[in-house]
Amino acid sequence: MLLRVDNVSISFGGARILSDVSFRVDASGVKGLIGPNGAGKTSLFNIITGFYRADAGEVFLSGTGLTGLRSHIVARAGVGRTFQKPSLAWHLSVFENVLLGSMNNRDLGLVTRRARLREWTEQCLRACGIPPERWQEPMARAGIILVKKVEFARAVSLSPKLILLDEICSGLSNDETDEVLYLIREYGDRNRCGVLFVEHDLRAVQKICADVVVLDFGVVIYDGGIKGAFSDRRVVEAYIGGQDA
Amino acid sequence: MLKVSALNAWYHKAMVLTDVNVHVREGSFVAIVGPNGAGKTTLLRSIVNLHEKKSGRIELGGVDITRDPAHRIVRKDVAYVPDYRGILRTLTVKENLLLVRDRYGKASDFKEAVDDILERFPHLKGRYNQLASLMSGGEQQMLAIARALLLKPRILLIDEPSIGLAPLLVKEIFLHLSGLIRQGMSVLMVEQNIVRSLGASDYCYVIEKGRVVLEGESRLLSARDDLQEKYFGKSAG
Repeated sequence: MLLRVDNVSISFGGARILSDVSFRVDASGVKGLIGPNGAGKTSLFNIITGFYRADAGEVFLSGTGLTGLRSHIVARAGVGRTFQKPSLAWHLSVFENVLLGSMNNRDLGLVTRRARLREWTEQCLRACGIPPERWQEPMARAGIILVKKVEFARAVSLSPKLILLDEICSGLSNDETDEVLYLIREYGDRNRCGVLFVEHDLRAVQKICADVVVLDFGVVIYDGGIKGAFSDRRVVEAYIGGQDA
Repeated sequence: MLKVSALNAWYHKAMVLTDVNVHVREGSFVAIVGPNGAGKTTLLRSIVNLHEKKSGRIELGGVDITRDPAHRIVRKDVAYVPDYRGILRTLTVKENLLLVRDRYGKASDFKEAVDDILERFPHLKGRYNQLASLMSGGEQQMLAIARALLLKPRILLIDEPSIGLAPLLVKEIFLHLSGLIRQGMSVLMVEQNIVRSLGASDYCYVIEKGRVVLEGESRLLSARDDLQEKYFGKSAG
């Protein structure tokens, strides 16, 4: 068991965002986390990665407690993530953005030789489909697909055991989405890395996820195979609506 | 209603739009589709003059608005929903909606309109006094759309409304928009997804590398199955 979320709850300004949420993520494969807007998906990511502190409940990575750890410690423990609204250092280059991730890699560490960091960063950029001619490009000028790939590469540069992807396909065309899905699957399989995948693009979810957790109003309403989810009455009513997705 | 003629737009020295002509009739739903980087967002920003490096002519109801500042264009009943949620995160939902208060005369009219819009977006009702920054991305997107509709625009410019929204909600929003169009509002929408765009719109322009490469009535375009492959890659749909 890679990730265990046990009875997590959180409220903001009196509004209950998550109530007693529990689920698990396996050591490999992609698990979807879907649900209506405001269901609590991103809040859950923020709790797992230490950006928020849950009011109750616990989070374990391979049996080790992450509860209450700060975000950079969680990152070094092997949890990489991307952000719904891309959060990069816009005044730095593509390469430097990923380098910042490499510097937090627990195996390389801050004391490592520069050459080794550089080499590792290059390896990550390649694994994420970013060709060398784009490496020196200023981040601020990058188009959306490159931004998404850099976010992914930065997560990968941590050598994560688990990656949390928050709407990484939003704003991408179908072909671009397929390219990103391929990178995710390739990386996950090759490195035995688990992925938790938040997305509203159901075509992408159906393509890449074997299992899904469905949240609605901060409560888990479904946890199981993807096929079952799309025929589950509660899921359809709360999230998909009608027959066509 | 809205007529864009021979529009060129550029950043630094790079041309982003070349000789673009777009026409939105009263009470019609027009979609602009094309791949990322085609210039779709720049087109909307040029219309409301948030992008100033441009040439050509933009007319609203026969009046030239090409160089009008954005705040004047809003007062001419043009509402714009930018991509990535143009709301004020440090204000509450209520305060964000109050920003368009001067569109209404009597306080009671405004209150009625707000109540009506909150019926459409029940999610926002539950968060009425909450800071926008504490809401999820999708809820912020709802707020941006709700605020634009509260302006009672004659024309709504909307950039990728489906980003970050649950499928059910996207359907509801499209349904709501078509209701408003029947009452005479026009919509100019930018989208990635050609299938969804053709389904929702009356007329469609396809933009590629800053040029209109195809246009036509949506129902005719959707009958052509070569389009997806030609303009959007083989897996479009």
